[in-house]
Amino acid sequence: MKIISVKKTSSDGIAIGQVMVFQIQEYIPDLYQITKKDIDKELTKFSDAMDKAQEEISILAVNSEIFEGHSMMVSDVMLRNSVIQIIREEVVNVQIAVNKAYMEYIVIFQAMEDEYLKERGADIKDVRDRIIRILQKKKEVNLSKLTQKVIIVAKDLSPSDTVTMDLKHVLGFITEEGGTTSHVCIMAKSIGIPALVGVGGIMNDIRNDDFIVMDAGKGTIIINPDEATIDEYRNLEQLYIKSLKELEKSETLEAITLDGKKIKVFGNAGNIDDIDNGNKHCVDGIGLFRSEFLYMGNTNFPTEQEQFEIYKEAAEKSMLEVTIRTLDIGGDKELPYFQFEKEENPFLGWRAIRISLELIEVFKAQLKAILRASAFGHVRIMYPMIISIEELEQANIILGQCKEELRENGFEFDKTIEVGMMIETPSSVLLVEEFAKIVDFFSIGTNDLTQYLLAVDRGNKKISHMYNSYHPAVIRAIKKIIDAAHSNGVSVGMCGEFAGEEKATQLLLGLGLDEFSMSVGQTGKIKKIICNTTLIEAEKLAEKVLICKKIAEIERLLS
Amino acid sequence: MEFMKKILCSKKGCVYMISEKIIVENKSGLHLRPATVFVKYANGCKSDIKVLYGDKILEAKSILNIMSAGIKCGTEIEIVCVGETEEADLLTMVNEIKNGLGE
Repeated sequence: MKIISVKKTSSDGIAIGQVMVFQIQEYIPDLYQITKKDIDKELTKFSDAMDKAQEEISILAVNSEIFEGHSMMVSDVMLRNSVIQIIREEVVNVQIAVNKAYMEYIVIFQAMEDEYLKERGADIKDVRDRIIRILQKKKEVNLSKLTQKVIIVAKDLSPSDTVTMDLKHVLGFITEEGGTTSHVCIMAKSIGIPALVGVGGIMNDIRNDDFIVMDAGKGTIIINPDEATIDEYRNLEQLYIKSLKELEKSETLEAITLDGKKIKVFGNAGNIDDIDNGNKHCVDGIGLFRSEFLYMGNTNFPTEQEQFEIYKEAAEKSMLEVTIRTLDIGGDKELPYFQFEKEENPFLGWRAIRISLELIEVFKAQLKAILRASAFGHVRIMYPMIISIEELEQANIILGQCKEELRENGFEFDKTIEVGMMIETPSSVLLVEEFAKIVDFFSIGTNDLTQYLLAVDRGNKKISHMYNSYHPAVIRAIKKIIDAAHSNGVSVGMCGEFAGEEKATQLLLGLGLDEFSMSVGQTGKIKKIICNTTLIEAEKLAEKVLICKKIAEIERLLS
Repeated sequence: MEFMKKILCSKKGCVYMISEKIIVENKSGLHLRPATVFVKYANGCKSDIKVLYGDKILEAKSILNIMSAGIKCGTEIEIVCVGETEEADLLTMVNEIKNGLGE
């Protein structure tokens, strides 16, 4: 048996089965010669073929944006004129002319740096192949009629190939070429079929009818595996399918501990699509709505109105509530319309609330937009990177001004809107009792909190292994935050990655966390753990963890 | 622009044309989907429409011409319309760009 390891994986899942090698059709133009008197005949052939191509494509275009694009390429006026010109001026047959005209564009696209545009060269090739096939009066060879379940291996798969494929019989794909933005990947991900692309040399290693095992998640292909390996993978496959089903079920659970404490399990969102996705995964609400995308994908600072429309949609779509975090950006990101000064250390620099408190008009536009959105759903405001009481007070004064101005202009907003802050800096931890008296909620940003507390740059390869949220300092900080909050009637959530870690769930419950907000795909797993824990057990676990002085002791208790 | 006027004058023999500069605000620039919308609208207009992008003159009705130009977010392009319905057509094109081309 032969084992191949692949680096570029694009979807999860395991496939075990027989290979079908799909030979892509090379549509090479026929080389028959013509004379001047044949020109009109060739032009007619061209126009007939384009009509037929357009017919074939419009059927496929009904459900597919990709084929809508193909349809436009067929009717592209410059391309048509180019073909006609080549037939007339060079006196060559229609197939040669079509090939030449399309090749010019294929070359331009394949030379582009942008990966997305480069892949579009494949679309143009597909259209060219279709036209030449029609001119050659050949039938379409495709994977639409498969008689048994197979794993398809090919040099590459075109959009036409993937769209017409008989998916019921396809266990998985492997292609020699192709990147992660290729059609194969996009389609495999959306249907959930294991796929591996860019597997150089695979056409030499695999033969038609070979029996193989592929693990798309880990990037492994095993050709002609022995019995033991096959059994191992069949088990893994069953476990994988089972876990997917359970995950779906768990997501719909209400997160209540065995002894009755209700916990909020929210999703983190970076844009509106993430909220839609979160709702698909049954999140209770949005614990962190990152507003940076409004500033980054833009040609200027977003206006109050632009922001209002997005925040309103977020408010309407989120279930229980949405917590909007004000601008949390810094010199490490570039804004095309604003020149940040060069900083030695952007993570300790001018960023987040510091920018908002200096660019007051920008801050007010955001706050007013959030306030106006609060009339359409349950919205909370959250300030990032606060290090001092002064900052919080200053931000709230500006918020007060915004409320006044909106009132004067007759805009509706939630007059009792909750205002809170992220706890992610050491100073906010040490002053947490003071902060607890003047906010409505905290959200612990464990990503940055861990970095700043441990003085470790997560991006620095040499020391990134030292970044660890299970460090006793981080755990004790979390305890301190929750205790101070609860003694002042303030609720505590967590929106850093730690909230989505299965190993940490019971500990966090035991420390008293009220709300977990995480990346959407994790919610099922976390809800399941919460539903299978008693608060009493969790608190006992937390007590033991809090006595630990070393990371290894904590990790042992949690394993 | 002077250069542009000369080309159109010699082809069409007319002096009139109308144009407007606009910034492409689509996050992905004029990639497949917004480019498709852009070209569809252009093809729906009777005028001859060109897009001036840097030192390039592009055919607005050609999907390949527009896509291969790789127009990025935040860049300024100029839309030029020539024909009987040039004013209405220019308005249509500029409005569609402002409306985000379906994004």
